[in-house]
Amino acid sequence: MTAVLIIIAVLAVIIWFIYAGIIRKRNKALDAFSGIDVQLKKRHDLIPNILTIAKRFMEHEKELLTEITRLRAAAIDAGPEKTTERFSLESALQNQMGKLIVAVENYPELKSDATMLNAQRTYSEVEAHISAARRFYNSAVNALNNAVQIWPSSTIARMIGVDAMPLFEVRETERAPVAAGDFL
Amino acid sequence: MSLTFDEIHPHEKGFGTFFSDRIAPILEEVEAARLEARKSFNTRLVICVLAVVPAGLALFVFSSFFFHPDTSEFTGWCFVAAIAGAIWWVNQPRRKFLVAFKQRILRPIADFLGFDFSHDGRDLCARFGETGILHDHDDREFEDGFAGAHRGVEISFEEVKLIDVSRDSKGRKRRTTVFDGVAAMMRMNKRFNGHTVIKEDRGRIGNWLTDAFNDFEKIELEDPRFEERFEVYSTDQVEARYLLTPAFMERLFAVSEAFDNAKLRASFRNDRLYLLIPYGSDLFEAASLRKTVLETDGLRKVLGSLRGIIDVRKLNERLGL
Repeated sequence: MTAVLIIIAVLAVIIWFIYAGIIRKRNKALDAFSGIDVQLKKRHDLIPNILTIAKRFMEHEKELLTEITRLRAAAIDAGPEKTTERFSLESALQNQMGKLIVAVENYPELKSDATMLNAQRTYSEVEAHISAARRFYNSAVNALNNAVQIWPSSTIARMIGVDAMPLFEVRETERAPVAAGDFL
Repeated sequence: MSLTFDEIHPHEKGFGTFFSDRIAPILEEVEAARLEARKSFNTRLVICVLAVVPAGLALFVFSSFFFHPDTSEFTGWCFVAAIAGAIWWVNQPRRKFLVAFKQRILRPIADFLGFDFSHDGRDLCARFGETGILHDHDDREFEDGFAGAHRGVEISFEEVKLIDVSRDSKGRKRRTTVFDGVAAMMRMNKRFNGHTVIKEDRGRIGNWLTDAFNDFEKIELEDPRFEERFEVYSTDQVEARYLLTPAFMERLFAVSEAFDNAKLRASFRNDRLYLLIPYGSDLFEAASLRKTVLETDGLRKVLGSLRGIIDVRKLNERLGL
């Protein structure tokens, strides 16, 4: 009888540890998600300023500017509930902004404009923070997803209703290798 | 006389001309000083050998015939002190020559490369107090300090030896070197508020036992090679990743490889990056009494070391955002 009680107690402790581990991982992933949210909001706030400056010079890039405006609005509308869709939109937005920054090179007046230079610098800084927040989020989500998908924690996760979360992945075009030689 | 050195970086441009115009003419004089110092060294060595050997024999004979516990220890210490004094005296010409070489040759080269050189060093480790990477030590020695700015990045470095002083069971002092290498410090382009520390990986149990960072969170990074060699702790998960970009990790790895896979330590604190690179040999010793300074192998080695450390600056460039 005592042995049975000990086994039950040990099992209860193990289950509690697994349960606590899952909750801790989920909370960490949610915390990381809120970190991304803050950084993405910075990007959303900055984009209108860049577009306002760019519109004055970039007459031939109207399509690109319109697309950026559309993606920004759609990403804001998606909200935190539609995470996968939102990440996809944010990724597309980042891609288009990258194209805009490259296109600036074709407009010497814009390229040397002090306000634009400052906006570009700030944008680059915001992107660095988004990238860092995304890496933390992906790391936290990866740990959570492993717990949610690998037995025995997968069973407990299902019982308490904790699901896997989507990774915030970047598009293939953004993974192009950096020409390190240009910076050395 | 010339020194062939690939002028890869902008701050190295024109080094060949500078060397021919400024350094080569002095080398002839420095070579004469080396020969003089070697002669003096050899003479002193012979004098010491001729004096110490008979003195040692006399002492041995004396203590064998007139052994007394009270006086024999004192006599022994006197003998040890005499040998230490003799070594110091014999070594003086060598030491003076090496200091003069650094002042006359290394200082102008450092100046050309944009550094202020100090043979005595600047005790850079005094500024490492809150970094969390300094080994526990009781005493430190430092020399060959460089301080300057490269491409807008303030950078300082010097050779450092950290020494732990302990006492054995008989109360005798024991000095153990706990770190021997280069300490470097640079101002970062990025702004940050937290504290991030990179240390050598000590294996699962070692890392678990090294619980020195109670207020810090362990940072799991994506690069498996980096994870295998280093452990990262920080007060801020996002900020740590903002600082440790994939490009930064790659470069820190390259710095480690450039110094024989050194188990280096780094700390981001107060807008600065602090580095400790263990190396174990004198990086900036370009001359020797035994070898002519007209052959520039030693200088080329020192220039290579300088370039290796200046390249640490690349850790600060805005890559991989």
